[in-house]
Amino acid sequence: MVQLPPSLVDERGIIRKALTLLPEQLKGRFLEVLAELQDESCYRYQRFFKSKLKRIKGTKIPLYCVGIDEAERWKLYLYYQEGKLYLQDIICPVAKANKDSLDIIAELNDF
Amino acid sequence: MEIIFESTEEFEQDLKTYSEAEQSIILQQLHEYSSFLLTNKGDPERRLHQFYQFDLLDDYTSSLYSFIVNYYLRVILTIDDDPLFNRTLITLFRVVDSQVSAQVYQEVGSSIYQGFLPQKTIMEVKSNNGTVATVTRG
Repeated sequence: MVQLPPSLVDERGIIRKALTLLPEQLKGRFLEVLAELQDESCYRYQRFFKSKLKRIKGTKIPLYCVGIDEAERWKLYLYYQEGKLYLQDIICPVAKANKDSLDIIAELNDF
Repeated sequence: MEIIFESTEEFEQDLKTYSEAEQSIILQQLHEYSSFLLTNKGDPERRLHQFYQFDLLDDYTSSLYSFIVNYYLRVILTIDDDPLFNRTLITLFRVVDSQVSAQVYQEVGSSIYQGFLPQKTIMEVKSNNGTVATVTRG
């Protein structure tokens, strides 16, 4: 088990990209998620309440995903290698080309 | 390290289509294989087959396999090391007859890899004989 929190490595400028793309209300949440990924107690108890860290299935390299917002529409991807967590990408919600009535209602009600 | 098995609804439904004796063989072989992974003896990939790599994965290497149960049965599964949680996840997607395993392998791969990098889309190229290629567009 990983006892010490792995170092976060941002070779691809993902933090800068995130702070550019994320809406204002999610920037603080993003920093909280990064803080949780460096919190030793989260690794000891294997609980990641804010980020809901989970292994992506189907890749040989250990690829992980965390949710930035509660609905997990904004996702941060990371992979683990030799004691380090490499920030891989941030994925923003993709708007549908053809919105249906439910989408419009959801947008209007912000859920 | 521990090994965690997870199964999809499709796997459970497939399993029910086989006789009790066949179900027992499938589960027994998976259990034996997990013991084999834990002891780490020999070549763990001897009973695993990958029909091809998926373009959707870009630089990632797929951990989706067709597991050889016996001469005529295959389990489509992923084997994923999870070092942050000190475990290996084996996810059982389907159990099928060997003659359709390549087709089901492709269907499962297309399904799981389409989901996790959502900026990608899949375009299927069709012919009279069915799908002949998948093309990705970024």
